[in-house]
Amino acid sequence: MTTTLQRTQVDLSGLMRVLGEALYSTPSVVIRELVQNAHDACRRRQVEYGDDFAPKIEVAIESGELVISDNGAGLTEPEIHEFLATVGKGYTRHLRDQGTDDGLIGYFGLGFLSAFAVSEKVEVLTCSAATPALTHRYASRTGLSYSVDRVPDQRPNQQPDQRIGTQVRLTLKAEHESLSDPENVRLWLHRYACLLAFPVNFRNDAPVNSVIPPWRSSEVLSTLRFKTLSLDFVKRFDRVFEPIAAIAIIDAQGRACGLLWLHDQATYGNNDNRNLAVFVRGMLIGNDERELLPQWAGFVSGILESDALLPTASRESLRKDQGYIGAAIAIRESLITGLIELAKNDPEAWQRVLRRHNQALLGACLVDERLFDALHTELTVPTSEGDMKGSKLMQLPSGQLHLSMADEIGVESVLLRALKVPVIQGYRYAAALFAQRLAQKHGLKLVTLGTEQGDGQMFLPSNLPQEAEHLLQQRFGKPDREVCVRAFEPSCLPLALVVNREVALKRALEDDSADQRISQAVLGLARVFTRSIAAKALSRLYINTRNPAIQTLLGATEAVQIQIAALLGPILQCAADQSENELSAALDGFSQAIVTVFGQVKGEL
Amino acid sequence: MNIWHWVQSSEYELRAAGHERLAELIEALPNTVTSGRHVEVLAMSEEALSMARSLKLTWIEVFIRHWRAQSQILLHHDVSQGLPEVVSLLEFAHRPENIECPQSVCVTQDICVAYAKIDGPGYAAERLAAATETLARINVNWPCFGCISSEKADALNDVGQYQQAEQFCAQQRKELAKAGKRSYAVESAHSHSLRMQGQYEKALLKIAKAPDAVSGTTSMFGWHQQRSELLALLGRWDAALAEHQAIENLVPSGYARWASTWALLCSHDATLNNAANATALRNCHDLLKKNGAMFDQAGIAMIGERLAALRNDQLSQSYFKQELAMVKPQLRQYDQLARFSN
Repeated sequence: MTTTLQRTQVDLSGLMRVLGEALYSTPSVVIRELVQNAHDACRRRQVEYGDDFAPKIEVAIESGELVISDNGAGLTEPEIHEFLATVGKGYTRHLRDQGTDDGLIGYFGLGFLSAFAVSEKVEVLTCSAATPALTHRYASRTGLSYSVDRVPDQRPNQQPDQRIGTQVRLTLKAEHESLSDPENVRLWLHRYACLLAFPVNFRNDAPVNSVIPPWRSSEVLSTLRFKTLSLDFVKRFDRVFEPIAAIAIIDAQGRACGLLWLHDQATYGNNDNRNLAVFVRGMLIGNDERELLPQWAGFVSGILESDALLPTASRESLRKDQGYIGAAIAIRESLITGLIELAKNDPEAWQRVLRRHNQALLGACLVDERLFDALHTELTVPTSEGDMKGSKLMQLPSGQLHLSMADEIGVESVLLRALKVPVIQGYRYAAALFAQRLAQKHGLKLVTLGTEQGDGQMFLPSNLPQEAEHLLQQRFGKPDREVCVRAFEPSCLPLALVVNREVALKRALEDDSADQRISQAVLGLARVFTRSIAAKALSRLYINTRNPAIQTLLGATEAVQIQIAALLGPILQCAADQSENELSAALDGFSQAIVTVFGQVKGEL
Repeated sequence: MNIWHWVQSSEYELRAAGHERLAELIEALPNTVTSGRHVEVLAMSEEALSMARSLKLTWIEVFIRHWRAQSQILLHHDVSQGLPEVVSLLEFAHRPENIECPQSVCVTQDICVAYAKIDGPGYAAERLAAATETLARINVNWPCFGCISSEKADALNDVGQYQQAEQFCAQQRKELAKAGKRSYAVESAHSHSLRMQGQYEKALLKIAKAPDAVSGTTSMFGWHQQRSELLALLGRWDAALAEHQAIENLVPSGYARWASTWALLCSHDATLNNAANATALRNCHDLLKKNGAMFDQAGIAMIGERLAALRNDQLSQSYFKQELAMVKPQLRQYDQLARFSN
């Protein structure tokens, strides 16, 4: 048996359709591709012919047709066949393969195909610098077949060197009429071509790239000048977010530059409004390369210029290679340094940043230690007493931070509210972790409400004699309630009742009814844990020895003790974590005690 | 059962009812978990939980707590903080009002994983029973089919039943393929069963395909590390070194494999047994200790002691020796630590 090598067949029409229609996400990309070809043609004329000429690119709309002209190198007839009409083999690609790609943008020789995706007919008039007396016309409807004619000189009165160049004329398909809307074209040109090296003109406007971006400025800019130029540039470029402040992208290795700006529109927590436009060799490649920005920077947009980044074939996204990682690091470091500098040097802008992005910055501080160190005193966290700055929390007289992980009001929250002690609302975005970090950094005690550790720090041991403790156990103890005699503030509160949540969990899972709800093997694993929880009472009653009523009780006769305990009953139920639903019984006892005490007083009177 | 369909409908309903922020948090949470951004997960989940509770959306609460547990326990091996929470979640998810929540079944995996992280081989029999029981309740159309299957395979591997694990994974992969799905977790367990039988080349083939992007960067870095270990076992040192990850790329669930690979690489090139790697290993060990992930902590202590002896670092050697002596008696099946002695 003989093996024969076969040539792979290409369905050219199918391939053209896929490349032309599916390679790009939006029809407007055709403008980018053709302007870029024009740019490369100008660059080629400089490099290959050493011509001293003023490169110029013009975009126009003539009778509904889109026309892109340049005075670049142009193409000879053989070059039309070889490069314009061969898929995947553009002139720029050819030069790149030869190693002479200085300043050229094109990569793949595919950009011209985008013209067929939007056009009924594509016509190219071109006059090469190599043969300035000859002008050729390329015409095609689908790109599958084409014609090339030599045409009479279109500009016979001009000098031969002024005839050199190319004009691409697109007769647009009906569904792509928007490409001939002047406002759209202006907008796209400003977006795609604002950083191109050669002037790009549209109508009688100033060139779309006439404003030099501040990071390209050859002069050393003062801080104020940089700020003014940057904000001005951003306002032209970004149609979505107004900037508060701008930060230069600085890469120590010189592979990336550009600008980041902080949005004037407020964010909350991890709202993600990141946006990054990426320019490679002056041409917009990625319109939304947000992943190059840190995840926490939901309030930042930017422009990145880097020739170290490699576009994919559609040139609408980037390859995730070492250059990409390097760019992400440069952006992150620039942003962190910039934020810290802004906080130090521009208080007015910084206050606006804080007003709009405090929560997002709390999150950022948790991810980056340097940001935490620099910003934690300025950022605010939500507390029961309103938003409080880190610096204020650090100066609380108690040296303690109180943290609540639930917005339902527990007993401890009631105590602290009575004392006007701020309780950090740990259930709000990033607040709990920020409080933990703050406590750790400044040696503050963090009291988490509703935990045994938190209770231990709030309800301090009392030095009451054992007999007195025993007496209180007698008066307030009952089945499934542990009595703890403690000293705590506010002293006006005699009692506090809390649930032991671990015990509640143990009971729920070790109860027979759990077997009916939960699969046996899984329940078995859960019970490995619950068996480690000591079998204690479900609720814990803290009795406050600093309270005058408790002190009176301790010095009273047995009969009075009973009445005081009954009078305190409703308070006990109100100062409880919903564990003992016995308010009506307590109120009965309270009423009975009033009757008894009043009866006694009346008798004495 | 399409859990994601339920999640998307819930997001839609929340948005329609004006709870945009909660919908946004729910949408972002799984991706933040699989990207290994644990601090953000904690920051987001507290806020989301508070909102879900105030709206009395108990199913959403199950969803949030499950994903937080995935980050805390499955990826970050933080059992000290996470175990009481997942036990409480199990109880919550099995209350009558929540039992029909599509995410409830995943909670059984959370608790199995918690014990796998504490002492995988020690609790292998219980985990095996739990995973088998859960698999009987679901089928390949459930998104959690892959996760629970991988948990069963891990338990088989931990109990030393490598051939059974291999066969089980092959069967689950077939089922998944028939349904047009794949599970990187099952592929990884499949590869590990072969690795433990010394069939390194076959093991490498089982993870020839990178995890899907949806599995997140944690899976991607973990994949490279698993390949690196196998390549090192095969003696393809350059390739192994190229895939060996910087420790910063890995979440704690990848530390033990990172340490094993490093030990293998050091056997080929003693210069890799250096101070920088030793510091990284010590940090990994201490974090796992703090997190209560005892089995991996013990494994790393074994490796740390051995490598410290080789570079004549008596201080480290003594540190790891003491740590190992303290943790070993707490393990139910410490003979399984032998896997770290190569």
